[in-house]
Amino acid sequence: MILSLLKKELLLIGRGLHGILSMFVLSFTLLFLFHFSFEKDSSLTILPLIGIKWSILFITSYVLIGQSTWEERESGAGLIVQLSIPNWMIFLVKSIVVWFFLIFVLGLVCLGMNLMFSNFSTIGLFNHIIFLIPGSLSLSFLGVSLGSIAASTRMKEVILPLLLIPFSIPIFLFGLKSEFRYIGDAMSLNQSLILMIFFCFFYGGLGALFQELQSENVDG
Amino acid sequence: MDKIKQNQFNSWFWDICLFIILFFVMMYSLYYVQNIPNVILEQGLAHRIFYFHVPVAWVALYGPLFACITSIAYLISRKNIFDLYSYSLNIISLVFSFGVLFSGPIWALSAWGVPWDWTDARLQSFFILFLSLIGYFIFRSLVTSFQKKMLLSAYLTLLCGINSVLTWGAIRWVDNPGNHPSSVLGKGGMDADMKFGFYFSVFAFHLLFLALLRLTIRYVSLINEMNRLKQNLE
Repeated sequence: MILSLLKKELLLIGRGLHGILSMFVLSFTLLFLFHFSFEKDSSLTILPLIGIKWSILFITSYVLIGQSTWEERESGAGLIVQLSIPNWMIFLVKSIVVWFFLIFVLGLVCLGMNLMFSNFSTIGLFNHIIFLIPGSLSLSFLGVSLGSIAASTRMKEVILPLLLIPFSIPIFLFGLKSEFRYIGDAMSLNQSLILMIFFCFFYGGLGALFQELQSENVDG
Repeated sequence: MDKIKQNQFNSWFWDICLFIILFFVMMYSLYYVQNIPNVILEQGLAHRIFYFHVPVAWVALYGPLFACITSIAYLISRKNIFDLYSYSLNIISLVFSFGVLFSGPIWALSAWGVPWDWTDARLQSFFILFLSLIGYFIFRSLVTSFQKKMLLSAYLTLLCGINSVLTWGAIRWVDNPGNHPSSVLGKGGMDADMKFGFYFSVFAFHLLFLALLRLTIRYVSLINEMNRLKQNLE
């Protein structure tokens, strides 16, 4: 069942190939902008580079979640699978697929940054991804649950950024600050990582619970 | 019928008592903090906004947490009254958050020389809390089904509550390079008159919060009733 759901989500995201392409174009356009604005004259230090990386994660998560929600609504796939599969499972699978794509895009963004910014490689790959992994997972959980909320309004996905920006900025800020702190003090890894993992469980658990409550409401 | 009248009388009686106490407490608090505690020389008279800014910020952080509790109660019991409480608490929280964002820059300008410090985690997180509350109200107005509106609002209230906890933790859990001072509770350095003025202000603003909450709950329930009657007529 989970495999079928995974396949459905992959097909939904893959269906809008233009959406995925636009996400790549958007990410690399941002990199080019920063490269030609700053890096050409003086090399950016590692701290602003980490900021750029997290900002790209922030923006691409909107694109992916918005696209996936829109495709699901347009195709009617969500309504069909809800008839036979628990809502929490649909939510978890969708979030994980979105997370997988986000990690994939971020991997390419990191590669691009390594080529475009000379100071990007001053810290290792481990440092670059250790907070991005739980951060992007939290964003996926939160985004997918807010996507389903946005679909209940009369403005549909148009309202999604309005919901996503205020509610996901804490993840962005805490993730960014944790990474800054870790670069300055390697001993802070455990504390910061625990906080980020807590975010994952919290948003995942809350989102799944909420999906179940919503389905009860629809049934009732 | 007599019981309803008795309840109405009790409610108004307590409201009047509360407003009389609030009036005297607030007047004394304002008089005390403007005249008794010493002025911090580097900041001048503007530092007295501290007695307004910090108590209002405390209430602005409690509000979403109380709303969170009533939302959980709604999710468990599905009783409309809890949604009414949660919505009213969020209205008050928004007003108090605006108070914080309004008074903060005035104090910051005199203390730091700039009205807003972009490196400060507490300022950013408070602004985000304010935006979340605005997002909540905009969203609420966009859902047409009443039952769905209550359910989805409960979820968003939980997220606002989390933003409130993160705002509280912003000067505790992450390195904060900004100017914002650490928690006043962790400081033993306040003079006795400052301490008294501060805690008395906290008490006064909590009373104000309670009074406004009672009014808001009454106002929102009247609006709900009006909408229900309108729907029945249509």
